[in-house]
Parts: sequence; structure tokens; C-alpha cells
Amino acid sequence: MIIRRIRFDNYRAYYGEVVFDFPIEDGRNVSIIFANNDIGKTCFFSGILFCLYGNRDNDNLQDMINVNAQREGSYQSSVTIFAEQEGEEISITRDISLRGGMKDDVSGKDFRSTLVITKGDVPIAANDESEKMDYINSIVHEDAAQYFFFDGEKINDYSVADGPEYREAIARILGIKEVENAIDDLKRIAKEYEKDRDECLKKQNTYNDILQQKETLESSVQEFERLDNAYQTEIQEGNALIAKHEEELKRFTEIGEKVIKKQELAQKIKEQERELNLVEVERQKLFQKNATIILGEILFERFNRDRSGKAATPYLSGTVQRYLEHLLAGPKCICGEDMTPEHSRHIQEYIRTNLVTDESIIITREREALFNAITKYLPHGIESKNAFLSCCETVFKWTSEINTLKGELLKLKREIGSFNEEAGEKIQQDIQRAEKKIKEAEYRKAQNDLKLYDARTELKNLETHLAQYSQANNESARCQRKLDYAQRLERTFEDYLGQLLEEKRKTVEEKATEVFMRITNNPKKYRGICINSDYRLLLELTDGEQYEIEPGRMLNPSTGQSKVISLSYIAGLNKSSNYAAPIIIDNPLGLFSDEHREAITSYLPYFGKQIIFMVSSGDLTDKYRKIIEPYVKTEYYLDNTGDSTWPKSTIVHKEVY
Amino acid sequence: MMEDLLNQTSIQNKIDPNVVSQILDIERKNVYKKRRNIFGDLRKLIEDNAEAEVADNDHP
Repeated sequence: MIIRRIRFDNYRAYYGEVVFDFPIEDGRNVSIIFANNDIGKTCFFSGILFCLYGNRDNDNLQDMINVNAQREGSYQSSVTIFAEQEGEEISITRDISLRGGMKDDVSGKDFRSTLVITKGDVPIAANDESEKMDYINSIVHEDAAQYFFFDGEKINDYSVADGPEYREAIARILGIKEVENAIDDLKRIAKEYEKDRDECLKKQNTYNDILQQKETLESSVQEFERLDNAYQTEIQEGNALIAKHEEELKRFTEIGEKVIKKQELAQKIKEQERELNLVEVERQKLFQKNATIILGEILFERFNRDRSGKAATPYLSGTVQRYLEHLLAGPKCICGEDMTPEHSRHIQEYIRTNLVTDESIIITREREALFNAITKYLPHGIESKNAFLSCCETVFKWTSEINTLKGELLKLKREIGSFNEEAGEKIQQDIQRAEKKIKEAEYRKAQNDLKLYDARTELKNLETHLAQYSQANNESARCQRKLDYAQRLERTFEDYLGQLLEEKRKTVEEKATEVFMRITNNPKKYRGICINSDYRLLLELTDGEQYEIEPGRMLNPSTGQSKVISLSYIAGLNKSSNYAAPIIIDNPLGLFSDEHREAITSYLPYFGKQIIFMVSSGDLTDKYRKIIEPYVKTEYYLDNTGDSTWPKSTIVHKEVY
Repeated sequence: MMEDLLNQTSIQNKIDPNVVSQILDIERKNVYKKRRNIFGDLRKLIEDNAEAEVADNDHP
């Protein structure tokens, strides 16, 4: 990154808009900001850090706004860095503004800070703070910033720097962090693969158990199937036996049916005979009780019929007799035909039959009287006779039926012949026994079928599991391959890291030593700067001893020497770094002796591609200015233009070379 | 030089140097990120190449 311009707007000491341009050209890569104390040197430095990395947790945002501006009602502040990054124009603006509207009484909590980054005028990740910070960290990581933007008066701390943050920063600067990350990531991935493989192996053990279960279950299924077949055979044999018995019984059954029919017939006959006897008794009773009247009625009816027949015949009177005798004497019959002997015989017969005498009339009249007398008894006689006749009819009817039944019975008896009912019963019993056996076999088969079904289902499940586990078996091999590969990668990166560290360490040592030996005032004492595996500084003395600078150690170099060592180390790191960032130093010459100031001033232009440093006129005297002047492109002079307690720093003079 | 070193180390560990380079590229692109969602890519690289090795061994 090359910083083209930095614009402050009411940021801390800077009142209003204060813009610094930092052009560079071949041979002139240094920009100097001159300011006395309390004018804005540190504000410039902190403004850059604020712009890039935001405010620190304990920073009060309101305090970052120029107090005079606040008093004039402006509660807004910003720092913008315009730069070139990998050939593209970028701008990074971090502003401070009030949340919500204006208030009468504002405090630090009422302010917020906003970061806006544009790349070729296009905002980057407008709504994603994390992504914006990632972008800035890709330029110069916040952890490594202290090696690019640093306070010259405090750099002696670097010589005794220790701890993970320090190590992290060095790793980032040297491009080791990504290799370390790769190792960590591969370790994590390898661990996951290992876990996967272990799971697979665990499943594989289960697989063996399941295989055993499967074998046992298969034996069970075979046994169940054998039993099933046995039961099936038993059932089939039972059914065959039943069929055979039924075939035998069929004949017996048909005869049996006839026997039953015979028995039924016999029973029916018996019942009908009993009924017939009852009717017979009734008839006899009726006859005994009403025989006379019945007989009388019968006689009456016969006589009455005879009487009625007579009565119907017209009586032949004497006159008629005489006429008929006269007719007989004549040639013609009364019918008009000629009187033949046949005609004559008929007429004479008629006369003989129908000629009524006086005695006949008397008898007829007596008979008539007798009939009239008997007629009053006639209904009773008819009734008795009818009852009797009804009984007779019933007797006749039932006798006929009984006779018919007896005929059928006789026929059945002949058909049944030598039927052996016991043999039939035995067959029936055999069938029942066979049926019972079949039922038992069916029950056993049903139970066996259930077991067989369960066993087959279980076997199927095991097969499914086995298939899965079989897959797992393959999977474990696959996991193992992935694990092996990840571990080889991990080893590769570890080996690479070891060699990279050594290479980087050597590079940093060489470059730091080169700088150190150039700027130290005591090159006879030191042979160079060494770095141990934890990136801690060691001084290699001319006698070959390596001396580790530790806080508070009596043999430590002087403060000035320590600063020189630190500066050399920073320079060495910078030159070995993957980052390309400007070097911004606040007061690089502070607290140094003249010797060191001269040496450092001489070295400053070689620190990096772009050097910006803030210094007071007292520290960069004409002597040193002359040293650096050939490398300077721009100079800025800041001053407080206000007359109040709080500064209104601004650029009062600018020099461009 | 460092690239040569990486290739050499890869070969020593029987790893395709391209895979190592790809992993390092992924790591470099993400080294400054707070949220590094790279495990999927790394796993894919490993899995593809682990299987490719098997295929190569089966059909040399």
C-alpha cells in the first residue's frame, strides 16, 4: 500500500479539514510532518491507526472530535486514507458521528464510528464490518501494524517483546501465519478423519458382532424352515388321511343318512300309529255312543232316498190306467209312432209299476208320518254320523300314510342292509383325531411361522446393517486414506514451516543485523542480531556469545542501544515481510544520542518504499535534515491556529520537493 | 526459493506439490480473515487427492 493522501476532519487536534498529500518518486520516498508538542504529531499517528483499525475499547469517541469544533456545534469527525493498493485506488474512511439527532447534553456513548471502504469508487462490503476489517487486515494486519506504524520513543519495548501476540505479529509479517494455519487446519481435519475412521472401526467391531448374530440367526431360520416344512408335511399328511377317511366315510355317511331316515321314518310311523290308535278309540267311542242314531240316520237317509224317489214318481190313477189300456189297443203310441210290441211292453210296465192302490196310499201316508217324526232327530244323527265318518276318514288316511311309510321303511331297510355303524364312528373318530393333529400342527406351524418371520425380519435388518457396515468398512478404508493424506500434508507443512522459519529467521537476522550494524554506535561489541525459535531477540556479541535481552537484566544494552536494536529488528522484519506498507513513525529520533540520530536519520529512507514520520524541529535539527533532505518529497508544518485552551491544529506550511 | 522448498518437502512426504500449493493459496487468501470458511475446500482437496492416489495405484 502506498498512501497518497490523508484527510483529517475535526479529528482531535486537527481543526476543520486538514489534508496531507504524500507523493513519492524515485529517490524521494520520505514525508516529514513537523510539529511541536501538543500540535498534532501523535494525532496524525493515532488518526491513521484509528482509520485503519478503529477505536480501542477504552477510547471515548467524543474525545476524538476536535473540542473547538464541538463547541461550534460540529459533532462529526473523520479520517480518510486515500491509497494505492495493488494498483488500485482505494479510500478508507472512518468517521465519528452522533447517534440519532442532536442533544443538549451529549456523552461519548452518544457517538458511533463508521467505516467505509471504496475500491475504485466502489464501496466494499457496505454492510459487513467483518469483511471490511478483513480487507484492511489483508493490507496490514492489525496484529502486525506495530511493525509498520510505531512510536519511535517506545520501540525499545520491541527488543524485549514476548508473548503470543508478539509471536503472532511476527508470524504474520513473515508469512508464516498461513503455514501455521495450514498445519492447524490440517491437524483439525486429520483429527476429524481419525474420528471418522475410529467410528468406522467401531462399526466394524459391531459388524463382526452382527455377523455372528447373523450366522446364529441364519441357523435359527434354517431350523424354523425345517420345522415349518415338517409341520406343513404333518398338516398335508393329516389332510390326506382325513380325505381318505372322508372318502371311506362318504359311503358310510350316505348309509348313515338312510339309517337316520329309517330311524326318522320308524319314529314317524310310531307317532302316526299312536295317533291312529287315538282316532280309532275316538271312532269306537263315537260308534258305541251313537251307533243307533248313526245307524238310524243311515237307514233314514236310505229310506228317505227311496221315499223321495217314489214320491218323485207320479201316481197312475185309474183314469190314466184306462187311457193307457185304450192306447195299447190302438195302432199308434202316444209318442206318435206306430204301436209296436216294444211300445206296448213299456206302457204295460209303466202301468204295473206306477199303479197305485189304496193300500199303497195308506202305506205311503204312514211312512210319510214316520219320516216326519224321525226328521227331528235327523240333525243329531247326521252330526254323529259325520263325526264318525270323519274319524273313519282319518283312520283311513293315516292308515294309508302309515302303510306308505312302512313301505319306505322296508325299502330303506333293504338298502341299509349290513351297515356297520361302529366302523363309521371309528372313521369319524379317526378323522377327528387327524383334524386335532392338524390343528395342533397348524398351531405349532403358526407359532413357528411367527418365529420364522421374526427371524427373517431380524436377518433382513442385519443384512441392511451389514450392508451399511460393509459400506462403513469401505468407509473406514476411505477415512484412513484421507487421514493418511491429511497427515502427510500436515507433515509437509510442518517440515516446510520448520525450514521456512529457519529461512525467514536467517533473512530477518541478516537484514536486522545489516541495519543494526549500520546504525549502532558500537559495532565492535556486536556481531549481529539473532532470533530464536520464539522470535525473541538475541544479541550476538563479537566473542560469539548470544545474549538474550530480558526486562530488567543488568547486562542489557542501554536504552538507546535497545532502541537501535529494536529499530533494526523492525527494519529486518519489514524487509522480510510479505506486506508492502508504508512505514509511519512517530518521532523516530526521540531519546537517541546524537550518534544514533545521525545513523538512524541516514537509514530512514531505506526503511521501506514509503516513509512518513512526525518529528519536532528540535529533534530533527538542521544537521539531520541535511542528511535526509535528498530523500524528502514533502514536508508539512503544523501549528495551532487557535488561541483557546484546545488546539486548532492545521497545516501552516507545506513544502514539496 | 521458498517455492522450491515447498515442492521438495511435498515430494519428500509423497504429496503432489500442486495440492500443497493450492492449500497454501487458500490459507494465504484467508489468513487475514476473521471468519475463515475454508474447511470445505481443504477437505475436498484432501478427499479428491486421497482417492486419486488410490485410482493411480490401481491403474499405474
